[in-house]
Amino acid sequence: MASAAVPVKREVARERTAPHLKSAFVARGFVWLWLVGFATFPILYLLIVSFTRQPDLLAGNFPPPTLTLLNWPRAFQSVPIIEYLQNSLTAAGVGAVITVVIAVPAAYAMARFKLWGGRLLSIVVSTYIAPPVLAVFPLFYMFRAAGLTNSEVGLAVVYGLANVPVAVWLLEGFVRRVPIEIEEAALVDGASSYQLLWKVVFRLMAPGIVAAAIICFILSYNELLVAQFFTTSTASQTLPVGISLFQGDRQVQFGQMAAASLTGLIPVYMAAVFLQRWLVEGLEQGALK
Amino acid sequence: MNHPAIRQRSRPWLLSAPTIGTVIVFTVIPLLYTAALSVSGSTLGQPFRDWVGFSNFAKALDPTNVAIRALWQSVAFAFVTTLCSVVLGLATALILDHFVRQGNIVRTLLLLPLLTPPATVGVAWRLLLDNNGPINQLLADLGIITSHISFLSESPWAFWSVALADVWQWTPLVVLMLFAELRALPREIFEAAAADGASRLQTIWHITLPQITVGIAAVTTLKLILSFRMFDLVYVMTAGGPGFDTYTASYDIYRTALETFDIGLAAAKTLVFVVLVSVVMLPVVKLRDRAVQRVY
Repeated sequence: MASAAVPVKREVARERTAPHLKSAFVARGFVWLWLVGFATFPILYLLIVSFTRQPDLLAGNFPPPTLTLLNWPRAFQSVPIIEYLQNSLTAAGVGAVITVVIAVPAAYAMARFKLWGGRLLSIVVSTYIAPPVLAVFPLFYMFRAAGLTNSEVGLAVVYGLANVPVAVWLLEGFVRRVPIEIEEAALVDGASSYQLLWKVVFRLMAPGIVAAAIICFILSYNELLVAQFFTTSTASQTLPVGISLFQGDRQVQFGQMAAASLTGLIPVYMAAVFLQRWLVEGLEQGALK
Repeated sequence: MNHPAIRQRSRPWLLSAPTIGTVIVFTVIPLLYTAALSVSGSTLGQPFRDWVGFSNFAKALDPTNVAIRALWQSVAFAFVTTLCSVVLGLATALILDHFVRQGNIVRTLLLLPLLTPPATVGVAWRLLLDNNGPINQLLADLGIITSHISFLSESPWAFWSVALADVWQWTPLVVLMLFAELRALPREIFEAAAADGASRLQTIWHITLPQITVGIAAVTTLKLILSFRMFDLVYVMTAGGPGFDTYTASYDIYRTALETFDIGLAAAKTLVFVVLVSVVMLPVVKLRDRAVQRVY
């Protein structure tokens, strides 16, 4: 039976690809055109803008007849980009740690036990629907009373707490992937509840925790509205706020703005390419439930 | 999975407590606080000055006021961009699945728009769509237009320009999520369909799509939520203009709070927006739940 089935399967597979070779080629071309033409060209364009002189930009001379290197150093002079970058990294990084510490135990509990008939997870996730402006005023007054406005630590706390529902949503799927038999075996071996969680469950879902942390990091790193409300001093403002500050000038220096924007994008993109496996897995987790 | 020994040892409610606390601090308290702000004459420096009753809500719901227009534009923006992203993302995911099975480079490139801060996305598209920008030049060179179009300061172009930037930013998320769904489908069904002589389009329509309804519903929900939150693109690209063409509720609330400092009115507008978003999202979430129940 089995030996008879194999050739048939192969036949089908060949039939499926062979007559479509031409259309496969066209489709592959379409994918690449789509990606190069749509997904990357605004960023490539920004790169060109960062080397374009302001008069050429305003006159619409594209491609620019002459290039300049001056936008980059000038961008760093007119806005303290490095300081903003540090603030962004602190706020987003500390925030992601806070999120994960709060969300991981809850994700475990909600995946393994039908808390409140399984409704607790839905309720927690549904709070993410509320627009962030809702939380801005009360938190602003609370944080001002605590002396945490104009501080990247305060911003980190806001981001850390705000992303908890998303993180729980993502992490719950990762807990489900850890076979319950492993936990039962650990209990039979006499593991304490502390050992069970720390040494078995959390270790097995480490890739998922990394993925969720990266996604929360990106959400905070790119955030503008809350940062705009909570920070007014250079010492605490983040890069998206810094980039938007270029708009305040009478004549926007687009070349410098592009240079500043790219400076913010480069470290995150490098990190993302490096951590790609986890990141994509985490994004896909949202769909695979 | 309610293993009694594990349940007793791990104390699920204790583990969930920090998350429940966070949700209370971030949703329940803000909701009550915002409600309190909305009925008191509040400014940014002095919250809760005096009781003003529901006059802020009257202002927020006044049909002659731009706030109402902002609400509808938020809804229109969310649905238009979600429809475009999901259709475009689904098509791309299907093509990726059928022709580029591995696609690691493709996926790395797709991360680029997702990782770009919306403020930066706004800057890039603002320059691209400028009166003298490359898109106008290209269209003129191709003979499609005779005079340059002010995409960001002319009706109805401005709305669609912001929508385009939003679709650019979020479609990759749809692609990545749906691609994962497609990859997880069992191959045997497709082989059977091919053996029965089904065409590629028939296979997609009758076999692939019904299997990923849940994924499509999930990603649609997520994209709608993200669109309702959108603030940065309008802030950077159009500042709500021309006129009030791209004036969305998030932007309206921001302006009311930080430019006129009328926190009471901003709070009332926020509550109206929350109610609207909930009412709009409820059927979508219900639809998703039904899809989940049908499959599992």
